[in-house]
Amino acid sequence: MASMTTEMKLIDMERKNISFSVEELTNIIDGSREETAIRRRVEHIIENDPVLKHKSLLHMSREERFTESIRRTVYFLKTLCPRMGWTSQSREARYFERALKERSFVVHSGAFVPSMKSFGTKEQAEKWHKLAANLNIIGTYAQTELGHGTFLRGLETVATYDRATQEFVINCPRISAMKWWPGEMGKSANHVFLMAELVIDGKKYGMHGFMVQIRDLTTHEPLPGVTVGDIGTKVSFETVDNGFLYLRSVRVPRENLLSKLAQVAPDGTYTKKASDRLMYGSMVRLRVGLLGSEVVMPLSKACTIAVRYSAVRRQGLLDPNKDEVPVLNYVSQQHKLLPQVATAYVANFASKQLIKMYVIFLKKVDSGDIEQLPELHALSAGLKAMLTEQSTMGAEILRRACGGHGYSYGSGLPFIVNRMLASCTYEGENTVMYLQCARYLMKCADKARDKKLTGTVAYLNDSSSGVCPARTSDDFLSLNILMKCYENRAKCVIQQAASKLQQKIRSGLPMHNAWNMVAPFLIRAAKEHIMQYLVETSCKFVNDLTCSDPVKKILTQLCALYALHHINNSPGDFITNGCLNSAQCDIAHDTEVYLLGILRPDAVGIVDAFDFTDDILQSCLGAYDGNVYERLFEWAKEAPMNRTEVHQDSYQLLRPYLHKGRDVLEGAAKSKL
Amino acid sequence: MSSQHSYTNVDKRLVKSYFDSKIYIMTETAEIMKVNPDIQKERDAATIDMEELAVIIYGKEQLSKKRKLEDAVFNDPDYKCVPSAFLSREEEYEEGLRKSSLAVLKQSKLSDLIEDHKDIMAYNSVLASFGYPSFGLHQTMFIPTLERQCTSEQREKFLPLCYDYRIIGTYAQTELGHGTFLRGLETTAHYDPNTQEFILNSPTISSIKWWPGALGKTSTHAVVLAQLYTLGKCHGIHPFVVQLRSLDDHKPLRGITVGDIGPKMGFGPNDNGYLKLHKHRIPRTNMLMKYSQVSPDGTYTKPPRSTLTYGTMTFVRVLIVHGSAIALAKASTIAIRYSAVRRQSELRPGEPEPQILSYPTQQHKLFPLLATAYAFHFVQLAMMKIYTDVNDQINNSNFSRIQELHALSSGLKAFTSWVTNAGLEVCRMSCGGHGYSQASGFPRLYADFTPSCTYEGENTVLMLQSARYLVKCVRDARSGKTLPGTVSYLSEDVSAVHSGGSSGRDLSNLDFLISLYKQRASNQVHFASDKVDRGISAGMDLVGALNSASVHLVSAAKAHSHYFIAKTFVESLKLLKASSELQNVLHQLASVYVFEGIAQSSGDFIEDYILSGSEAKTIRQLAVDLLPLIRVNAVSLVDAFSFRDEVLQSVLGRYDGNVYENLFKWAQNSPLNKTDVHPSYHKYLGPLLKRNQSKL
Repeated sequence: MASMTTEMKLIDMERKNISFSVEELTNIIDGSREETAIRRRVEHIIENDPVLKHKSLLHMSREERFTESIRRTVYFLKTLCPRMGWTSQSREARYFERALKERSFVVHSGAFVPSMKSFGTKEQAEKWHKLAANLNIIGTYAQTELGHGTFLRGLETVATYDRATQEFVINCPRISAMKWWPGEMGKSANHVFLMAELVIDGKKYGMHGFMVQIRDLTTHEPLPGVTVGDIGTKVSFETVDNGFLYLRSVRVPRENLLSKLAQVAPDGTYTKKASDRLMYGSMVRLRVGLLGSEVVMPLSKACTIAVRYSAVRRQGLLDPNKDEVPVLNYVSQQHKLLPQVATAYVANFASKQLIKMYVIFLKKVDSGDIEQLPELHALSAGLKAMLTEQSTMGAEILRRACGGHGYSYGSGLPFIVNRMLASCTYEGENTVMYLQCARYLMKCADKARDKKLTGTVAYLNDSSSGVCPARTSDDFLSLNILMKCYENRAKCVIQQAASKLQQKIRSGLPMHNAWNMVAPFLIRAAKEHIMQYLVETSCKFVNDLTCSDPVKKILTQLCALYALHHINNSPGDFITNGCLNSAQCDIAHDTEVYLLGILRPDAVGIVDAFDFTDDILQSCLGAYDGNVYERLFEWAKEAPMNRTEVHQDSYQLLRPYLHKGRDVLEGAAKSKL
Repeated sequence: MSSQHSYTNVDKRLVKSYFDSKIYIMTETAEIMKVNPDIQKERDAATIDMEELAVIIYGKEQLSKKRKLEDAVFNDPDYKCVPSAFLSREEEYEEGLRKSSLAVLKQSKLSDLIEDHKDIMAYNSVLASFGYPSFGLHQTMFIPTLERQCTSEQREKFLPLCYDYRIIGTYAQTELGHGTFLRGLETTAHYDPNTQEFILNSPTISSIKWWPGALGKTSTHAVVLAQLYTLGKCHGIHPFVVQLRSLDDHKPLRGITVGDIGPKMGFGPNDNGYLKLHKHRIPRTNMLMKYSQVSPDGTYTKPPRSTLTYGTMTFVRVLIVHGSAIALAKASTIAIRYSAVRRQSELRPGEPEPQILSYPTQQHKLFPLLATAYAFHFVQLAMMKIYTDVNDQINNSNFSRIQELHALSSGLKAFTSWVTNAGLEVCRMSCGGHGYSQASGFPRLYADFTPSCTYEGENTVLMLQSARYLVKCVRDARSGKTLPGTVSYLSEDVSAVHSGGSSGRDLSNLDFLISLYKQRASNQVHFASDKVDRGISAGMDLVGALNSASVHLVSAAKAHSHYFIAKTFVESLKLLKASSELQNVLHQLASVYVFEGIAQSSGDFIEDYILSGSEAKTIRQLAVDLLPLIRVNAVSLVDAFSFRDEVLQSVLGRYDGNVYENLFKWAQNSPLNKTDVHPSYHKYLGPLLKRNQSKL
């Protein structure tokens, strides 16, 4: 790759025309200049460590990926981290995942280790937490079953207390009760934090968490009564041995019930110690964490790949007398790419705000104040649903925007898209998430009459929904006007859903029935509320930002693009509710197209600012230097299918026919084998 | 099949796993499985006759033939194999080739079932459920291209070899740097009059042929599309037959670099390939010369009409419309059957958990897609008929409808593949977490379907081509020309016919609603066309004006396709001979399709005052009101698609509804489960865990 190819020259030219400082924007995305420096250092060390090097992930079999990931993770945690003085508490920790690309024991450290502290007593935490934190035991969080996921109370695994031996006897009474899906459970974990229905003297006490050892600590063989294994291939997550676990009369000591919230005395007396609501706290934590690593990062990667590739992929003529143009010059292509780029920025800013809220909440929890929990729970559920939905859809649009090459693993995009797909159904199925968010909103709609709502729902206090004053494209570029549009629409839709619900109840239907019947409207209410939050939060974030004018301009335009794009996607909602009229919708549409043209020259800079190294991107199409075709060719040559010129096993199947062809085309002389 | 090559590695693994498989399954579930009572209840309560509907979909004879062929193939133990989700890429490739070779041999033994071309198509579509691409391009692209573009001498030379699989070919058009934009292809073929040969070259890295199916490891020959140069002049893209591999030992010939392009999202068994040509010489007679010729001295003769070469592409697009209908029908089958047996949550405190099919939110996800699958079915029939009619006209030298056909097939290909692509994901997610497992069948269904959006013409480009034709029609209409069949409405003045909110409008009348779709399409096409005109009067050239209006042009072409589909669905039902109850139920489906189409793009209708806001709300409600009615027959409506379990390849979509037992059985095939302790434990985990074990 000595000389510059046409593609490399094209992307070089793009970079020369960028109107703002990419480095400044990178610092804003990271949080500060200092954070950028820390991140780059972590990435540099990990990328250049010879032990962490690997061949293309995309050419490995699932089993190789699984083993390779364990190898790298063990080395990283046990050798590299101690050498660098890194721990899970250091500032560097938040960049480990990004730099490593994939790692094992994520569920272990993300769910199993913290659960010791959130569910265990002090003594229990002392016994297990340190072993788990040091990877001397490996565990997972076993909740979901074959037959039940999001609906927790339906779980069927039971733990029956046996007073005689002071043990719990754990059973999966039928096949649908088998634990199914927990990550790292199939082959790695030797312990599980198991959710099961507690039964004492025939009485059911609901879901409780138990520490259960499932494999022998010397041989790693499953213990008696334990059937455990891998659940087979999925769309993605090749490195994770999601498992099944079938327990038959497995006994654990009484002390293995994690007893921070409730405990069972030796004689079988059950005592409740704290509110179950605390359990919601850990779900909120998971959802908050998920937005950064499973939504913002992969979507930003996909944007980087698609925009860079579109800058160097030339196809078709815009002017019959001139050369072929980069596909990025086509307005229809810009219309696919740039709204997704805007989404990546908006999701980034919104998840930052959510984390801020969560940190403040945690401080209050320490002093016993959990008043904000319902708001935070509703917001995190709704945001999880909305952002996973928008970004998986967005990533898929980006993949297809790369044409045929996007379908190749070499583009890196299938890898990203496939992984994101799971996010819409894990950690709470999205429809259920919207409905939970709506439940909170319906309560708020009631209270709005007293005008006492605060925080993210305060806008509901003011029931008037003014008409949008926008008359020109310039008006629609104003973030204040756009925020107001979304606020008005959310208000209308939430009030509508609330009154539909009230109508059904007044007509004599019981609450649960009424709720089910108006569910489609409730979901809309939740969606509009979350859209309002996203638009307002990101616009305010940008308004309040101290930065150079060119960067501010770009970010303002991205926020406006996001808001306008979603108006134009469903103008009906705005018109029906009187928030906008037809003529305004027309202008909104033109303004979006206008913005695409304005942002076009900076597009490469805007994705460069995400600052992914080529190693992290793992994409032949998205590499920084734009040299896409040579990279694809080099990558394909590494494919296992190409180890030999003739693929012998399969050629044996064809040879008899092909030799007959030879006889005809080349004469019978050569035909005798 | 001779024994030496019927026993592949995959066979060995199958046999091994069959005998080795540890019996995990618990005794309480080992009893012979009956049909799950929840799904049986659905079938018992149906008001329509599933068999009557199946006959309507396939035709009586076709259906019975399909079933016989399926019995012949799926009851044949030679085809058995571990689930493909557990094969490595290389095993998948080899297994695909094994089955494909087997099928060629077995075809002659099925002569009582396979009599004509139609039967061969039916046979191939049964085999397609194995992932049967090994000779796919050989049959659908290589042979038809030769049949269409060979001179009679060339036919005699090549075709018999192809029919007997004595050579295997593919169609090499797409390059690393160029796909949809054909004129941009860079491969060259220079004629050398001294030796009467063409010299083929890949002059740049971006000119390497890339993507053609079966090119990497399987094919011995390819039709290569290249820029023809003779006597110092370029004459554009022409097809050449190029031998790639030795027929002796299958090694690539000199001057040929060929290989597999690496893993993709789907199509694991297919060795999509690359091909780099370096000063590779082929005889002059290997250029396909039915339409244009190069004489021995290098003189070039032009083809009579350039549009004739588009024929194959149009046909493939029609097939993709059919493919969309099938994919969506499969996805609905899986999701609806699973929703009938999956129970979750409490609706009323204290009562048993309901089937998730009972939730309006679930019905609202699935039933509009079920209706869409039916809509696409009738559309592909109509589209195929138009294609045949136009083809007959072309054979009688009447070329008047070529452009219309091209625009319609482009628009419908893009529209149906986009909708299906999104619909498959909705169906997958409606199955919750289990939808993400390969066992559900969705990942593979999606991965194999989604390239339809980008191959055979990238969708956006196709929509723009379709729109360009529509814009031209608007101009033709203004200059007084008569517009043909599917676009004639563009010359009607529809703006005055309806205006939103006027009283006495029957919003549940489908004919009336179709007229609103027409009005929307007409408005959008005129609107986009005006944008283009305004661009031109502001000083842009046509191409610039089209590019700046392209977002609106795509919307216009979508609205046009949407109108065609809704109209075709409703009109097809009117012509149907069926029992009144079945008519009634199909009418419900058509209604949901029409209502939901408006609800989902209400903005288009309201913005243009075709509907008032409150009318749009009413229609949205009408759609929701229909859901419980459709629920009654939902399972039978998918049963009628008649996909056997072997075709669906989905544990969640099994006919008998016994999903949990079978998910568990399926997972035991995972290579990670070969041993209770995975080998990696001894290398990494064991040492790690045991360091501080004394503490426990």
